[in-house]
Amino acid sequence: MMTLLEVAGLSVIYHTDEGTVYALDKIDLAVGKGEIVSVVGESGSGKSTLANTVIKLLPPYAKVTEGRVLFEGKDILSLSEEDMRSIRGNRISMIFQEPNIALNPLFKIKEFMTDVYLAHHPEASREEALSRSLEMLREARVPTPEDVLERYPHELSGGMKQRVLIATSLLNSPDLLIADEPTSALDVSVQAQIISLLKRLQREKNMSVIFITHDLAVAAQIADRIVVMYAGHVLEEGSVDEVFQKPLHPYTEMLMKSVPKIGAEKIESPPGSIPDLRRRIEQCPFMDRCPKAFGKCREKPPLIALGDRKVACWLYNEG
Amino acid sequence: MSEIILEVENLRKYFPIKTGFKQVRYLKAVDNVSFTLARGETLGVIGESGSGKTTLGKTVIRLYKPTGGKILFNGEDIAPLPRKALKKYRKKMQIVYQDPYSSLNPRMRIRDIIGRPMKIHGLASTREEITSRVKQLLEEVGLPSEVMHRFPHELSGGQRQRIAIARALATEPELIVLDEPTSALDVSIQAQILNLLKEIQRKRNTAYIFISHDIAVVSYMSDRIAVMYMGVFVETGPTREVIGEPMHPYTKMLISVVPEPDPTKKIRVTEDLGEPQLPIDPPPICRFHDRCKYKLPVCDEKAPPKIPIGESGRTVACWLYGKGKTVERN
Ligand SMILES: Nc1ncnc2c1ncn2[C@@H]1O[C@H](COP(=O)(O)OP(=O)(O)OP(=O)(O)O)[C@@H](O)[C@H]1O
Ligand SMILES: Nc1ncnc2c1ncn2[C@@H]1O[C@H](COP(=O)(O)OP(=O)(O)OP(=O)(O)O)[C@@H](O)[C@H]1O
Ligand SMILES: [Mg+2]
Ligand SMILES: [Mg+2]
Repeated sequence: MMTLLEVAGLSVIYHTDEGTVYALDKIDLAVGKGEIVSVVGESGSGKSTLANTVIKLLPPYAKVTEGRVLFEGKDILSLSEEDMRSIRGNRISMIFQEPNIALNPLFKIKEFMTDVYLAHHPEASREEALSRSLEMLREARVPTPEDVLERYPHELSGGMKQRVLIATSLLNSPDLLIADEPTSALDVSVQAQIISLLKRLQREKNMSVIFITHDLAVAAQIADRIVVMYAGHVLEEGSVDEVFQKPLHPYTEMLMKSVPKIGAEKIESPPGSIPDLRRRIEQCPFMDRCPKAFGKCREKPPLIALGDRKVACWLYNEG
Repeated sequence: MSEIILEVENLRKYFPIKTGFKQVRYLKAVDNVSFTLARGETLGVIGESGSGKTTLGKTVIRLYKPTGGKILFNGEDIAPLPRKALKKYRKKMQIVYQDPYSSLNPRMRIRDIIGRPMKIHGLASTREEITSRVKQLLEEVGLPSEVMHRFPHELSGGQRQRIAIARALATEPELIVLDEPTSALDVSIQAQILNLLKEIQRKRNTAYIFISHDIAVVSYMSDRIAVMYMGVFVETGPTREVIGEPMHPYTKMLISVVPEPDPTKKIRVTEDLGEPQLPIDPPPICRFHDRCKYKLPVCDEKAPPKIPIGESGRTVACWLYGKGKTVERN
């Protein structure tokens, strides 16, 4: 599979009033053409920071301190904002958890969608933009798309807004779609429909998707490959089947055991909570909560390859 | 049979809706809901956003005035009571909300947050007494007693939710409504809180109404489950039966779309599943009729009765099971 996106050794910090936050620490990630990669992690693990870095939407007080982001081999981080604008919303699209932030309440859906199309197709007419919008709403299986085009955002349900945003993100046939918790605020029935939709679009258009979620069950449903993040680090990566069948990292294992399953009698509740990111982590980030920790863990384990999987844990690394 | 603490009969909560015209319309957020709850038991309420779960929880413990129906709490009907008369019941019924960030007063220290309800209800009076009970409660919810002196913003989400639970426990309630108590928390923290709630229930024999849209969480926590849709209970029964063998078409649909953390069990959605409407003066027929793929002609005519199934206290409100009809389950 051809690599579309490659993130290598990426570190990002935020300068805040309360000091420096070490949000990403030497992250590696690769996304192949036509592949769905799910980035899974608990709150604060750095998932959104990763997405925002790839699409260059970090706030000004954030800083990439090291690493590269290569899109089709080109270093995105060194692009000017002007060059990035021709990629963002065009070659790489993004959808967020909260559809209301993306949609402008003052504009009808048709105005919103045609503007997005025209921004990257200045030669096109309004009519062309409108028919393209309609086509994409149909692709996204939005019921009564003609009617939806005439509506304002507040006249649509949350699930419908999210489908409109997916349709919008497809207008310019992106090669990569980054979805940051797109279903976390939605009901399960809507979530299931959106997952099916994204999978179908990925198949039919050979689009690559980075699907960010805190929900392991959702990742299991949608992903070809999953990347497990914790406290700004990638702890494990592998095909979804292998990782769920046999998690390697004790953190992944713990995460899986703490998900309540239908019909389960008991769930494990690991002690402790995630470390404070206001100081740089020098040991294994999971060490303090890890039942298998030993002396060596005071040194940070690198992410190493084990066949076609990767894990950052001394249990698998003779060092 | 354990002792019944709560009997709710045909409970209704309607919100008047302002329209441009003079005529008043009602959003029937809770409509003719009935159930019973025993000491030490958990009733789980599942349903999608807007189905009326929170309104039900708040009405049952009389934070809302019901539009109609009965709420027998230890045999006494508290539904018609005026505000003043409710005080002696308040301490027996508590609620824990989803959002640990906004449910705790940011200007109060933890000691006062937990101690206040004790004072209000006259359960402890001296400073020492309150402090020592606060310590006990903190220990019970797994927090060190030093957090007493802190403010809510100095605690993590999971710690704040422990505080909200400790505050609810402060008045020795017999019933606690848990409204999405872990929905804002990470899975590993959620697991801690769920297990804590189970342990508290075992020790204190408290009855819970556990509300969540997360079906796996509810089924882990509950003895029995009620499935709510547009203000009504469409199906109730023992957890294992409702989840394992859903009968109402809505429950079937809902359970079929719950993702499992197992890539070998993928959900497949091929058709449009539709979305619920707002229950504003809904016609007196099944509220799921427009989304139901098993619809019968009668479903457009009359509301289905609550049909008892078997001996386990299970009920389903659906014409498919009416008049001795048997239908293949699944
Ligand atoms: N704009 C910001 N300013 C300051 N700190 C930030 C900002 N965004 C994120 N952070 C911090 O960076 C770390 C990573 O946050 P990030 O939002 O990337 O995590 P996440 O995995 O997306 O979490 P969630 O699941 O809660 O969305 C956290 O410690 C967070 O507090
Ligand atoms: N105070 C109120 N005034 C008017 N309508 C209300 C009020 N509270 C709730 N509603 C309406 O009643 C219905 C039920 O709302 P409720 O909050 O009980 O649902 P819920 O099942 O708890 O949803 P969620 O899962 O989103 O929390 C909704 O249509 C809601 O808009
Ligand atoms: Mg995020
Ligand atoms: Mg609610």
